[in-house]
Amino acid sequence: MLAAWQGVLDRHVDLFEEIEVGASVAVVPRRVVAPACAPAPMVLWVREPGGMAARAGEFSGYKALSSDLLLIANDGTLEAALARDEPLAEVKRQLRAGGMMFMVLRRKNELRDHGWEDFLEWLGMPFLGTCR
Amino acid sequence: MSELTTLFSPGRLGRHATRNLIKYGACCVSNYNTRDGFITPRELARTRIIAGTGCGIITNQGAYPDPRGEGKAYFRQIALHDDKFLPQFEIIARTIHDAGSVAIQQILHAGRYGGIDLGYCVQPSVVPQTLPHFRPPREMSKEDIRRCIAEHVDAAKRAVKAGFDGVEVTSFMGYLLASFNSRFTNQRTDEYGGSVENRGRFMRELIGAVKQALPEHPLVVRLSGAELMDQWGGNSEDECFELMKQAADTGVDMISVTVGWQEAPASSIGRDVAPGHWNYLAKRAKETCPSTPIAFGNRLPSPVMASECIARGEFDFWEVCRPLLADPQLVHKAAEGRLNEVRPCIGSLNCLSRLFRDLPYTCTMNPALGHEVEPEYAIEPAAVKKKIMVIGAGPAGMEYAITAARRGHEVTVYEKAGRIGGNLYAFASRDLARPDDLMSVVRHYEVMAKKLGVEMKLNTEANAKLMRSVLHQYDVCVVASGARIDMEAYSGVEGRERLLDALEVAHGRVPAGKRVVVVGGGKIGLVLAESLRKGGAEVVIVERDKRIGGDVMPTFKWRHTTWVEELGMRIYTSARLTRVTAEGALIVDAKGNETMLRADTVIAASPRKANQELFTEFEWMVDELHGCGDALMPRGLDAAIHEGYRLGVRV
Repeated sequence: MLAAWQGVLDRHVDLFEEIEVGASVAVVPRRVVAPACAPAPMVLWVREPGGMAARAGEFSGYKALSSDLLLIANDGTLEAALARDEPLAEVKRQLRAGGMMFMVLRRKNELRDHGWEDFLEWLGMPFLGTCR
Repeated sequence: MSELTTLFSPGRLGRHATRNLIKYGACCVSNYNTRDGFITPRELARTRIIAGTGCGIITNQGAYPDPRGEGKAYFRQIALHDDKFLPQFEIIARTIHDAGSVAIQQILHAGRYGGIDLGYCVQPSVVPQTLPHFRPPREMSKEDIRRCIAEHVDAAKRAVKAGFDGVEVTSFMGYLLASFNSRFTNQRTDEYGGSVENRGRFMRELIGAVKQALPEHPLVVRLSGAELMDQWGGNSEDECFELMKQAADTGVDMISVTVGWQEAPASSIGRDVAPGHWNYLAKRAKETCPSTPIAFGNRLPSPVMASECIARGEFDFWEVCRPLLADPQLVHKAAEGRLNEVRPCIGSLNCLSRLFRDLPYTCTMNPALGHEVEPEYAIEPAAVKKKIMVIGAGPAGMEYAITAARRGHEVTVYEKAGRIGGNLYAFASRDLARPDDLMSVVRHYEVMAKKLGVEMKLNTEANAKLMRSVLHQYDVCVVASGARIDMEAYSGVEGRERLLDALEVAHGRVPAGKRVVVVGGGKIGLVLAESLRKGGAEVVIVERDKRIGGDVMPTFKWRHTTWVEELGMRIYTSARLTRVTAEGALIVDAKGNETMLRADTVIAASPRKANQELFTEFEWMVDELHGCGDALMPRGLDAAIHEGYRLGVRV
């Protein structure tokens, strides 16, 4: 799965251009998500000097997570997204359909400082919500 | 009126009789007040308009109850944690009473969406935010809960001391009590978490404490009929109704049923939701809590529909707010059988778009909203009655025309097309959300122009020849000739003669083919592309900016991106058109890479250019020459209506 996500990240270089080195998104199956939990495997999209990289990580609950954003997926949703021509577009669609959700682990200004504004806006996150 | 007999029947809230079954809902915080929670003259002027709506019950917008500001959700939200705020609350209560309505003060502790001036918000458990707008969470201790209940009781007592008849507490929309009620945010293991019974404990304790402190005063609780968060682990509708029953059993005097959390992935009140869609929730609430009055109004803008629902016993009070922002006279017009004169709420959600930018709310359809304190915005009889010609029957021209006519001017509108509405007409009919909402704006202008005696000269193009023929007949000329696609911007594009003008296509004057490239991903390009795609064409959008929808209202951006994806349209951003051939369009991206897009039709949908030529032509032909709307600078419906109005109250 890491190689597949690396391919996706490489195809969307523009989207992650502004991200600060070290900033990351944790991609975690929904069944393990809790404030604290037994370590479970997760995928990290982390900004490295050469660009965004897909790396393996360990999720022990969002209280201990140092990522900026948490992408939570129902079982099978990530695999289904990767099987599509445009996996990130499918992520965006699933965020609205409820198959995935985002959690924000930093304040708005910190996210902006870390360079996530473009990515979040592309996802439509600032404008989502029942009233919007 | 006959069909609205039920709606205008007297009602009751606790010991208070109401003159009808309409409750003004505290649907929005206005953001008109001071940063530290004091009510301003701007708000008091607005309150006089609200009091004049004719609703049987009027709910004043939510005040936060704690001195720390943990409950504060909006930049300029009013506060009720100290007696120092009372003088203005007293004025509001008195204003509502003087108008013959029952006065209710909402207490709004926003919980998960609060702490706007702080670095945190309070919640039952530490569940991170899903929207970046809100603050990181802190878990409430039992001591915090006890203090919060005491602060609600104090705020409720203060409201009654100020003269309000009762209070409303907020257990909906993801606010504090709702976050305790919900499985999504409440992951506590103490007596305030776990089962529905435990999750509802805080709400029950709070309701009980307020009722105990103020037994004679009605207490309303707003509760979710559906959170729309169930896909993310929130409450099911069954659980929502179980909580509703808990509230009823604890002795609330009214339940106001609402829909959706602020962060829910689905829409509840936008134009893409059909009126009446959520009525089943109110009906179920009434069946669940038959002895408790139920108020409801989510996406229910029609008084006729509301009256029919009440007559069928589906709920007891029509709770209405947004339609009254658009037309504060709605209830009176309904009572007098003048519903066709109502200025409709079109669900653009301009109000909320602005709130979430920490700005005071305004209304696309009601330019005076929020400016009630300024005499400059009032429609007063003109000191000098003038003969006025208006060029263009789009929203700016028509808004100006009816405003000027209401002031006593004699107004004639010249329009080159055979109908009013301008470009709005073309785009309303192509709107994917709900064409009827935008068309209702056109219908409103038709009705009001006729009622106010505005002369309409359709199929009449305004030019220097026409002006010479009417020389010295008019005192004022208002140019509201809108904007066009700036085809000259493509002068460097090879094969530009093959380009079609988006407005020509939108109006149906030029047909599009089956493989279409739309150049320009702003609102014009998007609406046209979506409608062509829906009609079966293959459509590609090319946009110069990094993202599409740059000129789209924030509340509608995600709808367009969703529609683009659902309809399977390809988008090329940071790209520009370089050549149009019989085979299609050649585009180049920011890095210089060229792509040939096969198409039988290439449409230019941007940039736009104001139709300003008449200003020069007419400059020496009429005493006063003014302009408004897109003719000054291309923007959108909101600016067109607001400018038309502002010019109308002035000239």
